[in-house]
Amino acid sequence: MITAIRSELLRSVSGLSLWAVYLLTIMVPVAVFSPNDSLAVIDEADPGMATARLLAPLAWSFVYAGFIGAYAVTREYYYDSMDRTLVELGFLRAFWGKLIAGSIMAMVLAICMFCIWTIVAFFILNQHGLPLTLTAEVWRIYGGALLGVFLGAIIGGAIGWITRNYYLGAIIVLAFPLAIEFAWLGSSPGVAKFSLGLSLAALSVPGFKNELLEMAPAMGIACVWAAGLVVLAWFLGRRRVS
Amino acid sequence: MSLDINAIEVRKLTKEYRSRVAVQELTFDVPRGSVVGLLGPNGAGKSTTLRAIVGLLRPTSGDILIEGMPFSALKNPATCVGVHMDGFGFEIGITAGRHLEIVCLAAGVPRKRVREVLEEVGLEDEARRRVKTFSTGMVQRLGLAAALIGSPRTLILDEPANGLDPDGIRWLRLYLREFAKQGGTVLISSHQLAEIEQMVDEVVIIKQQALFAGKLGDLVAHKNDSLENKYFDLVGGSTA
Repeated sequence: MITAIRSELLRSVSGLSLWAVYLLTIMVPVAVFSPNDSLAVIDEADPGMATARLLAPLAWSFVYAGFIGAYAVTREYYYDSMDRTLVELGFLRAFWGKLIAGSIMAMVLAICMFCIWTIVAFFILNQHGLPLTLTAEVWRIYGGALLGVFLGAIIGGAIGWITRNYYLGAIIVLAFPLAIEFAWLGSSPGVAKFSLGLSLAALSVPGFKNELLEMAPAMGIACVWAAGLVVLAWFLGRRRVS
Repeated sequence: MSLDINAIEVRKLTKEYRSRVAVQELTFDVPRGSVVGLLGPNGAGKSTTLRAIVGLLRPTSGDILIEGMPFSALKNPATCVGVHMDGFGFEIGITAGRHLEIVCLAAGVPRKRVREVLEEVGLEDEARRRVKTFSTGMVQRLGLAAALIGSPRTLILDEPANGLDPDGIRWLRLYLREFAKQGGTVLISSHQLAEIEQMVDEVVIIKQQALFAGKLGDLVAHKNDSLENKYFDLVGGSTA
């Protein structure tokens, strides 16, 4: 299994398409960052709260993690190279190798993104005369976001195995959380908070605006989503090969 | 049949797709150290058979053994059987060398194998080129290089000569003969009957079922016979 993971890790840092993944990693927190709301709040908040508010968009890191997880699988279907990988590794090693390598790659990129975003937050706070203050809440945002990235990459990988299609996989892991779940949260927050993406976001910012789940139920719901999709992906993949 | 003798054993392989039967009760062996040609018209079930052998599809019934065990039981498939099939692609934005490094890691073999197999297939100067700049023949050679990375004892090749120029086809024939001479086993599917006739020790001719499976010399017994004539006699020349 180690050889399969190493092989998939090397693949994940190979090729020109990697730059699109880097760009997406940067774009997701920017896309969910609401400058008007956040900047208005930090002017009236203490440094710890202001820092936490600026770092809250990291909770949506699971979105690019999902794409990285799915891309590890769907890029091979896009280029018709999956069959070669399956005969080299066998289904079991290919399946878990891609899921684990995708989650490792996503976590490494996420940590890099956390650093970049924290530097941006430092300068924004500085402009408002506030210091960057790493409170317990801020560390919970980092930790929860990283957990969301791990589960998001696993879920993305499972969606990749289920769809076996680059475009369909990308639409599900990118458009669903960023467009549909956000809209759903506005219309039916009581139900939407149990959705896949919003339960992952709640790991980092539990109870955010009283609309997301608290940490423990969010963790339970996210794990159920991840386990269910991985089992479905395994079942569908195993059914196709001997 | 003894597992010591045969690298691959196919027993009563049947694959059905809803109402269509792709392969029915197909049985044949691939002896160690031999080159065996799998022949048949389009739609005869050649690719289905090869894909079933390497675990890419689940047979409806029947048994297939590679090195004495089902493909799914091989601990490190790339070191047992090298596979290159028509339709296996490469991500075009990745260099040839990097593709092979990825396979090296998957097979758990040292990265120096990349240089060795590139030399074996005549691509030693192309390691740093991205696959999108390769000709069809070069992609075929790269596919063969990927199959060889794990130093497998058995090769399964589906239409490996597609896209190769005459020089490349000749090179492939000589390469596979040398591979078998050194104890390797090759199962090759191709439509190029004249080329296959010069290359193989045995042939398996199928049209959903096995029409002939045995030594080439038993099929083409007389001087005036040719594999092409015998092939059309078996599959029905009027439909070819």
